Amino acid sequence: MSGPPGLYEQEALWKVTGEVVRPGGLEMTDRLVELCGFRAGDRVLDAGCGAGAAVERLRSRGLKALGIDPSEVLLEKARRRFRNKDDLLEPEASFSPPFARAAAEALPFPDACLQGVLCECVLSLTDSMEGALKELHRVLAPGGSLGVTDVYASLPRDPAREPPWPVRCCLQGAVTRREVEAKMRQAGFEVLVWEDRTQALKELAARLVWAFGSLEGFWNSVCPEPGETGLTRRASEGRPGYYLLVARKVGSDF
Amino acid sequence: MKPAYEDPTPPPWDCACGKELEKRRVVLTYMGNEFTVELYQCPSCRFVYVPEDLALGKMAEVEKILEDK
Amino acid sequence: MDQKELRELEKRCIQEEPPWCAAACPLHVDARSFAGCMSRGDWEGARKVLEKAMPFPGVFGRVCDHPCQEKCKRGEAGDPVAIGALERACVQAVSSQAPVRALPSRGRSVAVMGGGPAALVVAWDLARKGYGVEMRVRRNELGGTLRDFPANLLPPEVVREETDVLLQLGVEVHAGCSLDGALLEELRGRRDAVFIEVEDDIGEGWGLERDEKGGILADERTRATSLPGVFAGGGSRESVILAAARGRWAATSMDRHLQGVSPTAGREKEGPCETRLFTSLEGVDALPVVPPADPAQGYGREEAMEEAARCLQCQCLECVKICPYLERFGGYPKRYAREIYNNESIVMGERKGNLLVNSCSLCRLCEEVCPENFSMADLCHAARESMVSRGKMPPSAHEFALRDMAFSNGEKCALFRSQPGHPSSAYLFFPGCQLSASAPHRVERVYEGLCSSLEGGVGLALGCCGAPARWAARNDLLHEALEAFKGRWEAMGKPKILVACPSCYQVFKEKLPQAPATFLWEVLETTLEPLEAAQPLRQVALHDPCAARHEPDLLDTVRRLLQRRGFDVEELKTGGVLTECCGYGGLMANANPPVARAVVERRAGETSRGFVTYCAMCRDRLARAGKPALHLLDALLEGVDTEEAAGRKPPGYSQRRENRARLKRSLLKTLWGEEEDVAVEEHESVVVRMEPDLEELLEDRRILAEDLRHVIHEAEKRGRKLVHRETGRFLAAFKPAAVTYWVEYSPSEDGFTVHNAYSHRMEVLERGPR
Repeated sequence: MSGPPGLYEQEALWKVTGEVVRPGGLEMTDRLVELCGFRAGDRVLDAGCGAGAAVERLRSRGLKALGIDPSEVLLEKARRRFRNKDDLLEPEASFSPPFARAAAEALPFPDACLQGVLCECVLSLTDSMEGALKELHRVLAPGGSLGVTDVYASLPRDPAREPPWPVRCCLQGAVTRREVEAKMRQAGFEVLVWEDRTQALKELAARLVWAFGSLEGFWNSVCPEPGETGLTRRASEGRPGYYLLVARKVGSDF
Repeated sequence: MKPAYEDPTPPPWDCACGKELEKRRVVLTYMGNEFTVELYQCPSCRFVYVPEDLALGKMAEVEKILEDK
Repeated sequence: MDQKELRELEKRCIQEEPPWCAAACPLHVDARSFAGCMSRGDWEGARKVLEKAMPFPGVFGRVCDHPCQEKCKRGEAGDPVAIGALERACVQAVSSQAPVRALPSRGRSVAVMGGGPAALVVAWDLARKGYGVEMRVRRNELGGTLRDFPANLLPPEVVREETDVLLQLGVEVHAGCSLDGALLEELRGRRDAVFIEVEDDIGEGWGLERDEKGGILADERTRATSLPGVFAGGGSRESVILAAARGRWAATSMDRHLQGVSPTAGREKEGPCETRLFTSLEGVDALPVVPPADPAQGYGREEAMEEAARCLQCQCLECVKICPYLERFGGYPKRYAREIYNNESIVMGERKGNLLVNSCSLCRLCEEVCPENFSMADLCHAARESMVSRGKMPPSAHEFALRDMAFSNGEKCALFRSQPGHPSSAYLFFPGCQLSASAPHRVERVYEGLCSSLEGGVGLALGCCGAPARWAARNDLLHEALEAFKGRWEAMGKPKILVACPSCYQVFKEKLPQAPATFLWEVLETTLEPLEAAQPLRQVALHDPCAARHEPDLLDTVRRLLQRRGFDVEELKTGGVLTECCGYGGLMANANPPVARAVVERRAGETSRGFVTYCAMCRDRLARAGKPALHLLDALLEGVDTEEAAGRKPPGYSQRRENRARLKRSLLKTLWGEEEDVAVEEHESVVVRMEPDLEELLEDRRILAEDLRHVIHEAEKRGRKLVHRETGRFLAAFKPAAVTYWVEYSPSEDGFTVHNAYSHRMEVLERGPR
C-alpha cells in the first residue's frame, strides 16, 4: 500500500496498546462475538486482523477464524504467532494458511462463503467505506453477521475535503453515526445493535498521555516528520467517539 | 499487562519506617477508569510515592481527558 | 434552553452578516475579501474571489456599474473604496484562475434567445450544470449590448475570449438569427425551457404578457413569464450587472423547473438585500480615495494596494473587542453558540467546548455593546445547567468555589442573630462572604454603626447568598442555601435586608423576591454624618462591579457618596452600564485563571489612577493586579487612611477563611457575650509556617493552610511519611475529600515549616492490578 504509513503499524503505538492496536482490546471482540451469535464451526473473517490476536481469540472460541490485512509487516507477526501454536491449527481447516494479504475492498473469497465478518477499527481506514461494505456484503452468506467497531465523528465532516494526514489512522476517515448507518443500509445490511464505546477511546488517549507525556508528544512520535503536526487539534475536530455495531446481511441496493 | 507508566528514577526518599522504596505495580483510578502504573512503594507500609512532576504533569493531563465527558 | 431557543439566540449575532458591498451587489460578489487580497498584492487570489460569484469576470469586472460602491461603509469616513476600478485593474492584469468544468449531461436542454449579458450568464450557468444549451443571437457574434461599450473599456477581443468558453462547454451558437414569436414557439417545442434576453422592443406580439413599461412581464426574482417554461431578463442599459444577475436567477429557476422542484425555496437572500451587519466607525479617520496616477491606464500594483487598504474590512466583533474571554477563544458569539449547541446535542463533550462554557463571567457586557443584544451569559448559563443535569460538568471546574461557599455557610462562619437586646429586627445586615473574608473589621464597624443609627433592631447574618452555586448552575445547592436563609429570615420577622454586595443583591432579587433587599449604601447615605474630605488619597477611578450594571439608583448613590467625601472620581469609558468584570463573576477565575487574569489586567490598565469600588472581590482582584484599590467602606468610614487602605494586600484563600471564622467569633464575644463552643478539630491546632514565595505558589495551586495542616497532622499521628535521604525533610499525603494533597515539611520550634505542596485528583490504590 502506498502513501503515508499507517498509525497502526507504528511501534511507538504498539508499546502502549500491546498487540491489540485499538481501543477496547479483545473485550470488544468478545462482545461482538456475543452479539453476533456465532456457533462453533462458523467461518468468521477478521478483516484487518493485524498481528492476529483477535483471530487467535476467535479460534479459541471454536470458530473457523481467518484474517486478512494489507500490512505485510503485521501479517508476518500473525503467521509467526500461529507457527508457534500448532495446536490451534486444525488440519481440516478449509482455508489455510489462515492469513492472507488483502484489503477489505477486494477480498480473496468466493461469494457468500462466510458466516461472519469482524471489522474492528478498520472501516474508517479504508479508502472507500462503501467499497469495503460492498465486499463484506458479498462474501457473507445470507443472514450472516457483520461486527464492527470504529471511530465516529459527533460533528458532520467531509474527510475528502481535508488535507491528508502524515500518518494514516482511523480518525482521518471518521464520519457521523447517521452516515455510517446510511452506508450500511445502502450496502444491504440491517443494523441490529449500536453501542457507544467512547469511553474506550478516552482510555486509550489517557494511556497515550501516560506513555508520551501529552497527546502532542504521541503524535510527534508516530509521525514520519516530527515537529508541529497539528494532529492533536485535527484529531479532536469532529469530536471523535467510538462505537460498536452489529449488522446482518439482507438485500442490497447494488 | 504492561503498566501505562513506569517511574524511571529511584527517588531520594525512604519510608519513615526505615525501609527503602521499591518499584511496584499499583493502580491509579479516576472517574471509573483504572490504570496500572509502576511507582515506588514502601514494601511494608505500602505508602506509594507520587512525584510532583507526575502529579502536575501526566496525571493532571489524564484527569482532564477523563473529566471532559 | 431548547434547540429552538438556541437557534434564536444564535441568530442575534450578526458577525456573519454580509458587508454592505456584498449585500448591495446583485450577485453578492465578496468585495470585502476581494479588497483584502488586493491590499496584500495578491491579485490571483483577488481574481479567484471574483470568480466565485461573478461569471465572465474579464467582461463584468471591466464594465460593472458597481452598486456596491454606493453602499460602501468607507463612504461614511471619506470616499467609498473604488471597487469598480480595482476590479477592472485586477481582471486586466490576471487571467482566469479556475478550470472550466461541467457536470455530466442531464439529457435535457434549453434555449436562449439573445446574446447579451443576461443571456450569456444563463448559458454559462446551465451549460456547467450539464444542460444542453442552444443560443440564438441577432448579431454576428456573442455579446449583445456588451459590444456597445467603448473599445478601450471593453475590447471586443476580450468579449470574444471570455465567451469562447461557452463553445468549450458545447453551447450551440446560431448567429444572425431573427428573434420572433415563431422562433419562440419552435424552441418551446424542441427544448425543455427557454430564456429570452429582454432588450429594447423584444417580445412584442410573442404571446407573452407585458408589464406596465411595455417590456415582458417577469417575476423580479424567478424571472418566470406568463408562459410556463419561458423565462426572461435583461435591462443591461440601466445596469449591466443587474442584467447579469437576472440571467443567473433565471438559470436557477430554469434548473429548478426542469427538476420539478420549488422555484422559490431558499432564495430569500438572492439579489440586492439589506444586511444586519454593524461596523463601528469609532477611531476611523476619514480618508480620501487614492486615485490612479494615470486614469486611462487604471490602477497599478502599488496604488491598488494603497486604495484597497482603505477598505474597512467591515466586521462587527463589538463584543470581542471589549472582552478578553471572547477574544481568547478565537471566534465570536455565533460560532460559540453553534459549538455549544453541538456540544449540547451529543453525548460527548470536547474539552474546549466545556472550557468555553465555564469561562464566561456572566457579566452581560456583551449584551450591552451588541447591536442585537446577544447574551453569552444566557447561552453559557443554560449550557452549564444542561451539563449539570446530565452529569457532564467536569468536577474540577467549580469545586473549589463551592467548597468555599460551603465553608461560609458552615458552622465556623455562619451567623444569624438579632441585635443584642432586640427580640425582633426591622433590618438584617448581610455583608456577604467576600467582604467578611476581605475586610472583617470594616464589617464589624458598619454593623455597630447600623445598630446605633437605625430603629427597630438590626440583625446580622454572616454567610454566603449562594451566588457561586448559581454561577455553577448547581441549583440544588443554591436552593438549599436560600431555603435555609429564608427560614431564618421568616422566623426573624421578615426584616428588610441590607446588602453590601451587588451580587448578593442580584441573587435575592431574582431568587428570593419575597425578601426584598436594599443596598447598604442607600441607608448610609441617609444615616452618615456630614463628612470631611477623605485623607490622603482622593484621586481615584471608579470601577462599578458588573452586578451593578442595571441598577441605576445604586450607580447614582455611590457617586453621590464619593462626592460628599470629596473624592475626585474619574469615570471610566466602560463604567456604569458598560462596566467590565473583574474576572471573579461566573466563577471565571475558578474555571479559567489565565483568562480571568487577562480580564482584570485589561481593567487595571485603563487608568493611571487607583480604583474605588464597592464589591470586595473586585477590590481584591484589582489589588492583586497591582493597583491601589479602595473598597467604598474604606472611602466612607471616618478616620481611615485611604492611601494605606488602598495599598492593603488582599488576603489569600486560607486567610479569607480564617477571617470569616474570626469575625464570627469576635462578634459573638463582643456583642453577644458568647464564647463559641465549637469543637476544634485536632489538625487545626497544628502550626505551619512558610516562605512568602511558597505562599504565592500555594495560592495559585489552591492549596489552603487547612489542607497542609490536615496532611501533616495525619502523617505525624500515624507516622506514615517519607524521609529525604539528604535533607531529612518529610513528605506525606492525605485525601480529605476529592483531592489528594502532598506536603513536604520539617519540624520547627513551635510547629512545622512547609517547603512545598502539590495535589492531584487521581486516587492511588496501594494494591496492584487484580
